Amino acid sequence: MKLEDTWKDIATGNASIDHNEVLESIRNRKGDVLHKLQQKLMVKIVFTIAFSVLYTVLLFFVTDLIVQLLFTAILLAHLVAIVYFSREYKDMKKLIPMDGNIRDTLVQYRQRVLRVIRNEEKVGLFLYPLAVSAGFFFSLMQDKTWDEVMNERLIWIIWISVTVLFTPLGHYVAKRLNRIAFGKQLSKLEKMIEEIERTE
Amino acid sequence: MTLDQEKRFLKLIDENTGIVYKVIRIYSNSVQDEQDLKQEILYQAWQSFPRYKGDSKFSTWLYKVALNTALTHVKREGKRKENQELTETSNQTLQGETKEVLIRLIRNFNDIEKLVIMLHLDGYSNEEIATISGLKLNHVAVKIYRIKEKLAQKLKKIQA
Repeated sequence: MKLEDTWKDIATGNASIDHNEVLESIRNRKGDVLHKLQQKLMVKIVFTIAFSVLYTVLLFFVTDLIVQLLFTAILLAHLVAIVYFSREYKDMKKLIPMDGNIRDTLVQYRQRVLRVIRNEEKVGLFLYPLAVSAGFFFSLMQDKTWDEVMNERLIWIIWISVTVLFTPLGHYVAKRLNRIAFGKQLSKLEKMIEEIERTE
Repeated sequence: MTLDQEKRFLKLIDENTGIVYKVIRIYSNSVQDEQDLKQEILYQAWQSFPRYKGDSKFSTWLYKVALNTALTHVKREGKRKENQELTETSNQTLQGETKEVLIRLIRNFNDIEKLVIMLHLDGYSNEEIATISGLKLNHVAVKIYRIKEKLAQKLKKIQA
């Protein structure tokens, strides 16, 4: 028997999908990488909202003007992040068309995944130094005045060191976690694109 | 989408279930993964359905949706025990179970080779395969030749 005949026999032999199963499937998304990223983004939105509420509450307990300003800046940064994440989430709801040429679809898919991951990392890079500074000054202000803090060179050095250390560290951890979560799938997509584009 | 569109979609899927079946059999890791992939293909097909204007055959359109979905699908952990199953089916081959053996042999190819051989065995010309996949035309021909050679060798080995 020819391979083609055997193959055609596979199609006619076993296939049947119940209408209810089709209807159920078209109403519920099972999930792919983009869906996973979308869920991850939703978690981030929830956390950013929760922290915004926390900073708003803390603002009422902080008496020092400088710390109040710092907390306001953080709050504004969080609000910007919420707007950004929400827009990204809405944008991700638009599916990548799956009925196109395979190479183009894979390229588009990979670009979308990379864009979402990189943008999230960039937003994080903007939030880490603010969050670190807020935490640092908030704890210092519990038993020191702003003038005392500003006049101590050691505090300045520690603050700068902590910010300089934690910002790249947070960025590195975020990148590493993204690589663990999506690296395998991204490299699979890259390999497939390379194979399609390769000329023998 | 309207009820009419839903009915039309169901009818077209009914007529082309073989494509979905073959893609999930070739690209899935396990029975559970087959189920996930089937649902995702149907979901993506439904989402893309308004764009289907009937310029090409529905089967070709569905093939593209199914293959694109399979290639971007995140597989569940776990692998089939291909070699073990292949040995177990060696005797079945003699009893005419070549369909399963063919599926298992194709599963051993990489994802791009799989789609090339699937489309080829389904009667698509090299030009059509190049258009669907984005591969260069001469690359398609070379791939088909190599894959078929490997398939023939493996089948011969099993039957021996």
